[in-house]
Amino acid sequence: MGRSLLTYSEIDRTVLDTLRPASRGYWFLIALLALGVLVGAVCWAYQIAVGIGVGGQNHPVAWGTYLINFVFWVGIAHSGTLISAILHLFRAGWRNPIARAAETMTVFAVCIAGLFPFIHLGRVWMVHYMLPYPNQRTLWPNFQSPLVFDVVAISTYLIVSSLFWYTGMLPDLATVRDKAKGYRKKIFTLISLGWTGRHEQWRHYLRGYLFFAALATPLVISVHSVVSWDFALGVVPGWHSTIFAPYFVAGAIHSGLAMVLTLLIPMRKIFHYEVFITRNVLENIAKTIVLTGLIVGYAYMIEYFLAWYSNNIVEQESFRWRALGEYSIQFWIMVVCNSIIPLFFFIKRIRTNLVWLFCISILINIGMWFERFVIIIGGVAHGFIPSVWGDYAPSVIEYGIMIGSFSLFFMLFLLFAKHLPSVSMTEMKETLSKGSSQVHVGS
Amino acid sequence: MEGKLQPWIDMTSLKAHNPLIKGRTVVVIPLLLAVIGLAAFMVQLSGTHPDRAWQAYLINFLLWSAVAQGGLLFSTVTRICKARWSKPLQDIAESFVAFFPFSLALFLLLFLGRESLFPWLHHELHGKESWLNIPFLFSRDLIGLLILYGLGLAYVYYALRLRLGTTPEKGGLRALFLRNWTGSEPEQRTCNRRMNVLAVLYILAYTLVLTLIAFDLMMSMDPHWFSTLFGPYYFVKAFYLGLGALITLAAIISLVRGEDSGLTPSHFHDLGKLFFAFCLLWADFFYAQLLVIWYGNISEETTFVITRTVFLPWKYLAWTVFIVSFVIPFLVLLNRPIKSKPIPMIILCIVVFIGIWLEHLLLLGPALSPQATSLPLGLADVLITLGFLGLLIFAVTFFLRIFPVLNREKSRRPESEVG
Repeated sequence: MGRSLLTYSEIDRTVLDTLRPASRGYWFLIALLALGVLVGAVCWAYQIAVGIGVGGQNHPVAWGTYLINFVFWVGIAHSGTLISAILHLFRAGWRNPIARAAETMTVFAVCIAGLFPFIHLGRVWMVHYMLPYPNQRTLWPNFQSPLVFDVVAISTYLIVSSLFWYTGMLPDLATVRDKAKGYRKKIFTLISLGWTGRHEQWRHYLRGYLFFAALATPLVISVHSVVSWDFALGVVPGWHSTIFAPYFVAGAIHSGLAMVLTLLIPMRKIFHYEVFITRNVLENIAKTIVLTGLIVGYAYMIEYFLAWYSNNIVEQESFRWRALGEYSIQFWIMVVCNSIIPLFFFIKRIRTNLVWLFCISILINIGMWFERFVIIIGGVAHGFIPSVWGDYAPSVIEYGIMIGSFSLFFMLFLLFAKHLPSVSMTEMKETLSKGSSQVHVGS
Repeated sequence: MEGKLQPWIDMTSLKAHNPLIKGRTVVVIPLLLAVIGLAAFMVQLSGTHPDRAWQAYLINFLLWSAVAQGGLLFSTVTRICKARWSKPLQDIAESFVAFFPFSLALFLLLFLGRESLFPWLHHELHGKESWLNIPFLFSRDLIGLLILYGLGLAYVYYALRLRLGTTPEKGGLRALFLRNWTGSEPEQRTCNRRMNVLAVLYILAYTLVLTLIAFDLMMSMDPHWFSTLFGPYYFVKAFYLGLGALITLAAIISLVRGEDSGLTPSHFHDLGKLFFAFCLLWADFFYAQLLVIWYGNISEETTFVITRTVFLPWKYLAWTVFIVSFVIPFLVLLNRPIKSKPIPMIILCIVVFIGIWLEHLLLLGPALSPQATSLPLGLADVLITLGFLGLLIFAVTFFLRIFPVLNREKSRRPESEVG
């Protein structure tokens, strides 16, 4: 890839080009994913009709893939905020071209995560009974339950990240509106909320964006901490561990960054985004993955060491069983994919090679899924009393719902990529204007 | 603040304008403090409470070593992040490396106090003896510190080669660092590459070795209590302290040298934000442990917290620590302009140091002085602390005398020109 001189108009052109009517292949892919969503929906409908028993959950493993997927998707959501908010505060300019896509991923992933508690409900049609929470329907509210913390945290996160995403997109929506014709012009006029680009508007926009970033940063840490406390606050061996909060946050960002790579590498190719999303940007993501992978690896190590050091036989057995018991394969997938394979990114040749980047990002996603498997299933399947040890395998219905959730995620992302500006033109121009009016971008 | 270019200062004028590294007083006073500290330590040791002397020694060893370890971490981390804003601050942060040899020596001296220091020595440990025994503990910690300090010193060695290679004055100790240095482009590249590798290794060693120190010299004092987050809690705190020390040192340098220091208000603003972030992170790690332990309500874990937050004499100390090392810096640092004002920031950092000192006392005190009816805190503790501080100041000023921090503003392209 050669060097190219980027200008304002070229940024607009490249991004707006992606919004031109889609090819047949695109709609075929959408149809395929819609089919996947349908599979998920049918499975859920079947579960509602027949009962929650169609899943593989049992005693003692009451939390199966629904909770695994819930935590997995919340985790995926986290890197979006890391990239758009935390790196913004750090003035790490390389995040500008990928912030939009990562934020979008966040919003969709949180939405999908939010579905899983509903899927896990025995009688989902009674869900309104829980609202308003201190309620008149003679339910006993338990504010000390981490699950309540979780509902509050996730919904706050959804609200803030969607607002952040939408606010950041306003100037770009106006750009699309200015170039569009016909019904699209009408739609974009509506959703760009009367943005004219007046000085006053920019001032508010920039302040607002900074405040959102400053608020989202502690939020992203607190949300996954709260998710981790769903587990750590219980006294289940393998769950009750003080390191869980930071460990989950790092793990979430780990998986999220991997998902960013998984999504961006094809998108970059298809949309000719090489001028924005340079290899340098991908390399920086890879380096950040090394960091999160090391944190996760550190947590695995410390948990093992302190399980031994604690001198608590239940704790020791629980960790021995993790590595050598029924789910040892899942455990070793987790260790290898999450903390050993990312170390290959220390090698420059690997982290600058798109194929390697893509393959490793997928392996990390798999590893992170299995991390939740090991924690959630492993914790309850092998508790204090040997007589209630049990095991668990997901049922066909659960696999169907899982296929549905993945299809929904990718379908939403594809729809977004073709209908809204998937690279922030505003921020790309900011990157330019910080230098001279033209700047060398390219690897 | 970009674009405000400072001319190069040659070393002679720099020395003349720099009372910080000129007078003898800056060497004599810290050494005097160290001697006073030593005297206080000896007096305490020969008095009725020799244990108290070792308690103060351990607290100070951990605290000031953490300052040095965390201070250098700033340089390595910003290097790895390719941060451009922090160049002059990196040079200053590297001076903390001078305390490493002292820290190592102080660690070895801990061996003399082993009988007073390790409450588990004559306890039944139910199988933990294989980990908690004096020979193994001292040898693994020594190896850890040797690795950590070795990496730190090697990193600074290359940093100094790069830094000194461009200055006219090359005599004395500096010559040692510039052996075989020609200043050619490939040589500088090699130097930079080695620094990158060493920086990564230092960061890895920092996390692992500080975890080990936290477990061995703090957590195991209550041999039946454990917390998986204790290691990260400790090394994040060390970075919090290191940033505080860096702010203090940079503020002093900028006060003394003014514009010559190459430090601008925006440097202090950014450093202040980082200090604020690590204040929050430290408090978050505290809270993450507290919440899990409180909610779990397992007596093995809660005794540690209950002793320190419910029982006298520790109860009020716990609140003091919380207020002094978190609430005050949190509220003050919310304020934007204060971050770039040197004098208020120095005061705030001193407050944080006092707070973290007391936090060390809170964590170690109940284990080391279980019979205490009043806070084990007296004049001797203050003097011993000053002694350690004197040693740190001596080490850092000694370093700065030989390797002055240069004004690099000119060598750095302003951010606006970088693509």
